[in-house]
Amino acid sequence: LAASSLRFPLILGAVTAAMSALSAPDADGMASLAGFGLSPTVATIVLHAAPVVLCVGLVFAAQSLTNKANALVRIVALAGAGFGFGWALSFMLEAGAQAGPLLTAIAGPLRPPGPLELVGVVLAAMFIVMGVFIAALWLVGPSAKAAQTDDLDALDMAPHERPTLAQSAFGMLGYGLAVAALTLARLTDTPAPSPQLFGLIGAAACAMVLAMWPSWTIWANADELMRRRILDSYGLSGVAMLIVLFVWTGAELAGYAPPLTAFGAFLLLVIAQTVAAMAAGMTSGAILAAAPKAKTA
Amino acid sequence: MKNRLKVLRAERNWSQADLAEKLGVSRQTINAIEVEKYDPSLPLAFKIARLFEQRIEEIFAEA
Repeated sequence: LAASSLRFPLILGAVTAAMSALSAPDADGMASLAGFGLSPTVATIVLHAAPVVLCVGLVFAAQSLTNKANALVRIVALAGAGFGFGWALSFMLEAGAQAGPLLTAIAGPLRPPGPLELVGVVLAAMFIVMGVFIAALWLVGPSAKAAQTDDLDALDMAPHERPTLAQSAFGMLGYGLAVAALTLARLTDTPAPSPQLFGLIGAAACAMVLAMWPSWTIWANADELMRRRILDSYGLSGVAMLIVLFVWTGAELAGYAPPLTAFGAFLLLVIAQTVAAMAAGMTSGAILAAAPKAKTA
Repeated sequence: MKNRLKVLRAERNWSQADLAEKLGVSRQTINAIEVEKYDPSLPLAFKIARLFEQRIEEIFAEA
């Protein structure tokens, strides 16, 4: 097998393994396997390993079955096999259940999350998954990018365009980790000047640097189309935030909305920028196919 | 805005990447102009006109 055909299943396998490791076996699943005579230890191992083995196996199967189909059919099949089954099986495992003790070890005792913290968790997960996905596109190669941009000419992606996907992946992962660390800092139930709190805020700051650096690099190397899209999205999110904050202020003064903290405003801005980026056509822009200038001869 | 970029490029047997390199922009920008999803800036339009040795209005026209 060519190395390029191994990369995609291995990346998805690693993501599924990480999800499986943070999950706990479902009680019904354990009971079903016990019905087949498996001991609790063996059943636990089977439930953890099955998503990874099935995910990688299905991706290989999809690759083989669509070997002679065009690139788009192959990519759709691969994405379906990998993500569909990986996610579905991980949810059968009660995904994320074992993250609780892990997070407590990092941040100390945690308070129950409120609505803002839940929004933070969802946003962080979304950015991290997108970051991993873009990193997979970067590693898998140009054919996957062609599917994302709906642009078959991207199949001949120039070598100098590839690093941009890596920058986008780092940017998304940085945002995800920053939001995750800030959300965790909000949830930690330790007194204000605690090592855990400062550690989390420091981690969030490092993650923001990780997110800002590729953003700056993308801007510095972007051509006029890309810069136009970036400016459109920031302008759109600025107007959206102006309206949202105005409405929130009115609602807060009237007693219909809780006070908006800096954390709340940060989350709103992240949401507004994400929506505006999509509205400005940047699903094939800064996030997935940022376009550095071609080097002039 | 309509344009003849794809035709002019094909006449010279250039790929989108070739043209992008000559103009110092990304291949995505060439693609966006060709499918009329993006109108180039005036400096880029002049650059395109000079490269193909034609006047701007011979390449670009109002839709």
